[in-house]
Amino acid sequence: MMADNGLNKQNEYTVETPWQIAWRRFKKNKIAVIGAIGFFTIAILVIVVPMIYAFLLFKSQEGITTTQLIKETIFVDLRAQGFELSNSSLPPSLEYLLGTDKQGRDIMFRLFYGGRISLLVGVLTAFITASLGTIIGGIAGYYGGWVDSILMRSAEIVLSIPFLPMMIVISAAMRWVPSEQSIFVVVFVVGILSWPGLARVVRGQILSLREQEFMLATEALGLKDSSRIFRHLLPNVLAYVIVSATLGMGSAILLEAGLSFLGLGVTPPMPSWGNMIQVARDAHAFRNFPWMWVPPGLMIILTVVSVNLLGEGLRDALDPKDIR
Amino acid sequence: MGQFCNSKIASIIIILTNLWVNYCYFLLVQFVKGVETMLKYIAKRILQLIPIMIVISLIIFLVLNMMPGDPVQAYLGQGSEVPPERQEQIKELLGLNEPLIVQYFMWLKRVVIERDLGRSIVFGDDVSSIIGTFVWNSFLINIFALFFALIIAIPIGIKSAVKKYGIFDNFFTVFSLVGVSMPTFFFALILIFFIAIPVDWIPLNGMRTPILSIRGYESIFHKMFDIGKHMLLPVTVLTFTSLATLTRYTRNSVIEVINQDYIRTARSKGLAEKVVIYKHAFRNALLPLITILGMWIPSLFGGAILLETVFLWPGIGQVLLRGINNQDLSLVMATLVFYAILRVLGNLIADVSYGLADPRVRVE
Repeated sequence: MMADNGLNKQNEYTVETPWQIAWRRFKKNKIAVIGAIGFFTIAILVIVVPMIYAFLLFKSQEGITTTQLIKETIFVDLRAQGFELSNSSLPPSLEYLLGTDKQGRDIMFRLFYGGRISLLVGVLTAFITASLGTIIGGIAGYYGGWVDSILMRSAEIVLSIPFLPMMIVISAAMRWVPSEQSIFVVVFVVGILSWPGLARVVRGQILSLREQEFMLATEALGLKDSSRIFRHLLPNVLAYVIVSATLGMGSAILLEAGLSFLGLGVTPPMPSWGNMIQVARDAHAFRNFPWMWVPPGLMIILTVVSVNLLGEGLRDALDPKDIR
Repeated sequence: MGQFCNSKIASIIIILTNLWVNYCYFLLVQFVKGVETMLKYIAKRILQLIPIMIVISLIIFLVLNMMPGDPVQAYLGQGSEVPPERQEQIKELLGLNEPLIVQYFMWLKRVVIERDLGRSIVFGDDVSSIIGTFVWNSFLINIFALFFALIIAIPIGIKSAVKKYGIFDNFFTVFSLVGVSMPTFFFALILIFFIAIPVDWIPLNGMRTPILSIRGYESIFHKMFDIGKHMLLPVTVLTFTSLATLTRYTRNSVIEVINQDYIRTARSKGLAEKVVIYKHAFRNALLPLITILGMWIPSLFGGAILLETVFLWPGIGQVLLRGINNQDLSLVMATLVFYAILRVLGNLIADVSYGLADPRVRVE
């Protein structure tokens, strides 16, 4: 009986997985939670608000079936070009909460629809940069030798390319891409120029992990290369990749805004926060219609602040060296 | 007695002089050796940079040639009535029908051997002289911003590090978070809207008052005053954005140093806290800053493109944008290569000055 009790006691001891530890630490970090809440609120708003607009617009139309209504609500698209042509350049009022722009389009709608585009650019870019960086850094670190030197040389070259000027030139060279696809131009341009930083770090970590005993064990067990890389090496660098992807998302949103402000990123009529601020380059609109360019700027700041808070929080929560 | 004394003093003086001369000689030899290794290191690094620069310029060249549009058409201007066969001749003459890689080497040969960057279409002048003039305008605002950012950021960084998580530190944490998360151009627009428009004497944009630059300035001070007035807002924006990152870096590197053993030693010796921080910690905390500055100055130049657009500041970024909009390929090519050189040299200078400042990483 006594022995039985002892065994039961041992079973009660719960083991926390690294993810559970991270989650517990993340929850304790108030600032990070605020960042996460802010970011997800903005994400939900930019998805839902355009839908509400479309729903209200189409509900009042005669002869529209429920299926059509749902379809129109979910796939809001042409409204981006001109949701409702009314009087142009109206200041904010009860009818148009943020006023209308020069073409008479509702700025509130464009703000949230543009938010979709800006967030999409951020998420996609972060994803592409993170995957390129992890894959290239992982291959270089794992295989070493000439593969490593070729990849790291190219990383060095890409790092030496002047970042913003080169992005401007590439986007200018791809100006022929139509408005709807211009998002992917931005994603592509930012993605191919910003992987080397992450690739270097991942390579460095893989180089040191490769020499540790558990990797010797995987070799002794005769595991395949793919299993050794994806199941045993990459999970160890994942924390760093997630943090750098989150922070990279913030800077991607900023870069998109900058490029679009110059008229090179996401091109009108498709709205994005950056190209909505472009109005301010016209001296008359800049002075007299601040409601056209101030809200998107504030949205950018809000979003990037929350993303950065989230990233910093994740960095603290996922830091394996600092076990609390 | 006097004699003895004199001779003794004389011998002491001789010994001391000897020691002194020897010591100076030793220092000199060390210095020459140091300079020699440093020069060797720099030469080696520059040699390594050459292939990298060639690859980078090749990439830039290929990307530029992806730009839609016909360079001959751009050169002749819109709607020019030059017959197509003549245009074809021009193309042949300029070597535009050759494969791209051949064209690249033609460019490289022209730049390296003939030292000719080509002629700009937009400005109607030699590219090298255009870059030469406009780069100083960019340099002007950047150097001022850097100066102000450094003298403000370092004390703030130290103070936040010393009282970690205090009110002061938390305030500047939030400050730099907002600074990093704010698009530079939006901040610039806000400043123009809320400061330059209401306040009469602060100019909205540009570098000189138009009427004055036509009529001419009364004196050099008048000119300096006028340009200074125009620099006010751009320098504020640049300083602010640089401040956001620099305070963080300073704070973190001071915190790292404060936790070292030798700081504990200094404290346990009973040194005043001021001496510990400013003499023992600060000097070592500066080391990482050197690296950051080297890598960061080029990006400051690049990042100022948007700022120059908002303030219509006639800097190198404006040259680049005008070149792109007018398909002025030789101008854009030269500007981009200039940025790349700036970046690569920034890294080199960072490494070298790090070696000079920190004896531990001196190269053998």
